Amino acid sequence: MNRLYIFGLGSPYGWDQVGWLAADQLRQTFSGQPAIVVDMLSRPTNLFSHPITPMDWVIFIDSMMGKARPGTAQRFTTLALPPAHQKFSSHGIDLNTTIALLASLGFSTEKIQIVAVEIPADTEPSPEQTFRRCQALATQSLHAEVKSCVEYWLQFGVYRFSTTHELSFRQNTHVESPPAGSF
Amino acid sequence: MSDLRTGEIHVPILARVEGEGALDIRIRDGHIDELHLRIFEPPRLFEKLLEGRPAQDVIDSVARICGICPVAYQMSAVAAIESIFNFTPTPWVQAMRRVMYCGEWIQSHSLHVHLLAAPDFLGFNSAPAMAKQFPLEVRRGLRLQGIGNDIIRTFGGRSVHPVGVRPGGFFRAPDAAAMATLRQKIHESLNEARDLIAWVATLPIPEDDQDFTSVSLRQNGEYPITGGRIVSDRGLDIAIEEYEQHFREFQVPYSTALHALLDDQPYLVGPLARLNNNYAYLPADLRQLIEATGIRFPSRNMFHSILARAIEIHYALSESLRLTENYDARTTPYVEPIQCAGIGYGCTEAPRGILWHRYALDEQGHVLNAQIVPPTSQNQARMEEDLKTSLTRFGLDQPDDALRLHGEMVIRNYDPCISCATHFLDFRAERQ
Repeated sequence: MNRLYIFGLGSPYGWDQVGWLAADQLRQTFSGQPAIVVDMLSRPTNLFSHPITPMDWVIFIDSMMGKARPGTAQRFTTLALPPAHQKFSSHGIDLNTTIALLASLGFSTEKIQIVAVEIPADTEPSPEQTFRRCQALATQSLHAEVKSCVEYWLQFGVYRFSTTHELSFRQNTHVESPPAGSF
Repeated sequence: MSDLRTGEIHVPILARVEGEGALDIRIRDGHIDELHLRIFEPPRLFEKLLEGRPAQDVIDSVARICGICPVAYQMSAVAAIESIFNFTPTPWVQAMRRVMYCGEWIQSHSLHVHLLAAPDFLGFNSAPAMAKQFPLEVRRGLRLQGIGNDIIRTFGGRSVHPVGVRPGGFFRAPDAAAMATLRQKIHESLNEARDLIAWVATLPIPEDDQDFTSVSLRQNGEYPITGGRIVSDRGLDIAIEEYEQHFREFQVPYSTALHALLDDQPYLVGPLARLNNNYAYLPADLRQLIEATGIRFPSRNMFHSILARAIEIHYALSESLRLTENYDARTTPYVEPIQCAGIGYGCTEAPRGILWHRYALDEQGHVLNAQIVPPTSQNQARMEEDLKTSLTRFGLDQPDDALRLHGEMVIRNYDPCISCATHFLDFRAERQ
């Protein structure tokens, strides 16, 4: 049986939790689907503790700082994944390296997708209540986007990269981004 | 007669090491005139940050010095704090701390062997490139790394910056089901660890014997992990409280990482030093595996460090199984120590070598001052000494790219953790 693995990336800290929180919700959403496996990873290479094979599909979910409005969830193919502009001390084994390892081990990059939610770029601390509200919105946005991707995969067996497929599917599933001013 | 080489070689960014470092070499008339292993990672000032913090904050904070060896920092810290409180952990706590530490050795060593070092020996410039021709080996290594993370997570709630360690023991004891699942995974990985030793021993390892002093702990007749006395293969045998009487930390102008000397000489810490000093304390079956490779320990060849790490992965797996054989989940995970003021010391064997902590606490158990000496700092002087010897032997008339690669390989033998090495900078503030 081909599986779809959803790996939430992150850590227990601040905005970096969003990938894990969304993965936790997705695990409950798809708990009745034996073909869907959800896990939270503190390091991307931890995915290899699963019996993952090149026949399987992978979605990495995470938070990101880009140029979109905070709370916007975006999908990337491995080719479209933006390079990390700042390298943190993680012993060099980041998402890009992990994807390169997967490709070297025979995984098709067409079966790897990254879904990330934009988080605020400012580093000023917010009041705890404000932060929790915004974090919940970001998690909800990420969860909704990945849920839509997974439902498409369950129906068609592929990721929805085709614009035609996406538009008709969106009309039927009504995926929304958080309204402006939420963050 | 050929002209003797004069010139400079710069490696602006060291690849496949943790953190930011560079290597500068000046060659004059066929000799290395100057060699600097330049660390420019920003200092983290942890020793200053800890002042005024309570004991538990120390344990949770020092874990954040490094994302790959947080357990080592926590264990050295809690040992120092418990020594101030005149507290001896229960045998259960001592054993489980040793198991948790084994998890860190396994995950750190596995990552280093497969993703950082092995590509060097096989002529690849990256782990993904190596994985195309050695997919089974790379996947095996990543599975072993995962086992290490699982062990840490079992005791600490998560593998990055775990939160289970506290003065007196652990916040909670893993339940019986979790331990049974973990033991099953460890047991299933022993064959892979054995195969790893055999595979690493077949790698084309350069001959490069050098004269150096191996420094490690020696722990009550067992392979050292969580404590003991500081020993060397040149006769040093001291209590950890005597560290500062023999070892000296100092700053060099070209590096944010401190250097250290033993009686004014460079020295080596880490897996090869541990193995050199404690080979006899390995289990007999593991020593048989090692002897079957044909490689002998003690070894004077730093390129054997990759094999030392593979050996320690196997040791850590078997030790974890041994110590959890009669696991009792009903055990009280901690005993509350009685706080008091004082000065205390902790020294444990981080994956990269001895990690020494010293704390002074006040009556409320808050830090007055702290000193942390990580293994990578201690290896800086030895690394530079090694580089001079190794590159000279390699041939200074070799092309620059070849010298650069060989220099990087020598450095990677030490698996330096540059984030750990830059935790400290002498800090004084003048306010007017």
